[in-house]
Amino acid sequence: MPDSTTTPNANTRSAGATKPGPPGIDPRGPRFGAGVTAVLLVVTLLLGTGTTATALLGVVGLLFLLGVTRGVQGTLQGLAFKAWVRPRLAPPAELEDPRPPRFAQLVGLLVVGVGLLFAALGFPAAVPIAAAVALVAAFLNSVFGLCLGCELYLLGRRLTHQS
Amino acid sequence: MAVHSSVVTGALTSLNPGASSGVAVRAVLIVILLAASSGAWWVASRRAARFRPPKDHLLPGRAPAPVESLSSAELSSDLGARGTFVQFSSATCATCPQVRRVLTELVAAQPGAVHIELQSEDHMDLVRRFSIFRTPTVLLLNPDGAVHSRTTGPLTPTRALAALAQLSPATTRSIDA
Repeated sequence: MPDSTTTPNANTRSAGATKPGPPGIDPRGPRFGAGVTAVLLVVTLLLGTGTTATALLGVVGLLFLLGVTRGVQGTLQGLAFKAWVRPRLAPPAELEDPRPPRFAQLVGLLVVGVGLLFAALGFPAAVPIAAAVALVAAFLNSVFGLCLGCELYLLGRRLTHQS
Repeated sequence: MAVHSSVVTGALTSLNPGASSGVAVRAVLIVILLAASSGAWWVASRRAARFRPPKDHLLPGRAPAPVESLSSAELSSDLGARGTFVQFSSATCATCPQVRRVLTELVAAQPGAVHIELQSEDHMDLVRRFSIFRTPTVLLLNPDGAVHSRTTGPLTPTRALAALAQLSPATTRSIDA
């Protein structure tokens, strides 16, 4: 043990892994945001296929758009978390890279965007379908901390980089 | 509440005459959807958390890879005398820092164990060769570089240590230096 205390990471090598990333964020922020999104999507699903449901899905889409452009900590949920939730919590055990949840916001935006597009083209059922897909991801993220959108990243890379 | 529900009902009656029962049906469908996702998550995470033999992940009918091993030259790093944890991470990986922390602490306490972290984006050839679909995926190599077992997703120190112990059971006695 004595030598391991002086060089604790002597056996760890990251081959090109230590790119200086942006400052970390509290991992509970994205989970809180996903919880809010999940609630909005549940209401959307309860509304069915009317104008109200489409409008609410549009609101969720705008929230995702904020997350894509400003990062997940810059969304309305992120700001609410910072203002009201985080002061009540203990400091996090570790910080999280903000890029994965931001990528997941893009996946969410695509799902909701496709739903709204098909709704505009005359397929009203696309609204609840898109809301259901997004709800599964938001629900798993908020309750279990599983970022489904992040999981798609490597699959996408594999498909786009077929050599 | 009354105003809200009238809006809801108004939106629903345009499509569905039995509007109030429609909401109830939808509520039940939502509960089923969430329960099914929870179940799927539970099964998948239980399966992924274990260190499994490398061929286990292949789909049935797919030819197993002939050689599943990595050399120190390919990794541009020495292999551990007891075992090497090769962690595939990616830029958009939320769980990777947790796994990195667990393995960093483990190899600091376990002589002969080595942890190597690779960015999947920079090693797409290895990602394909080892059929990696998720990050983090951790391959555990034996001292010769052959893949002994693999796991994906969150990792507990206990499981990582158990996998290493499985690789070289008589560790504490055989290592004197």
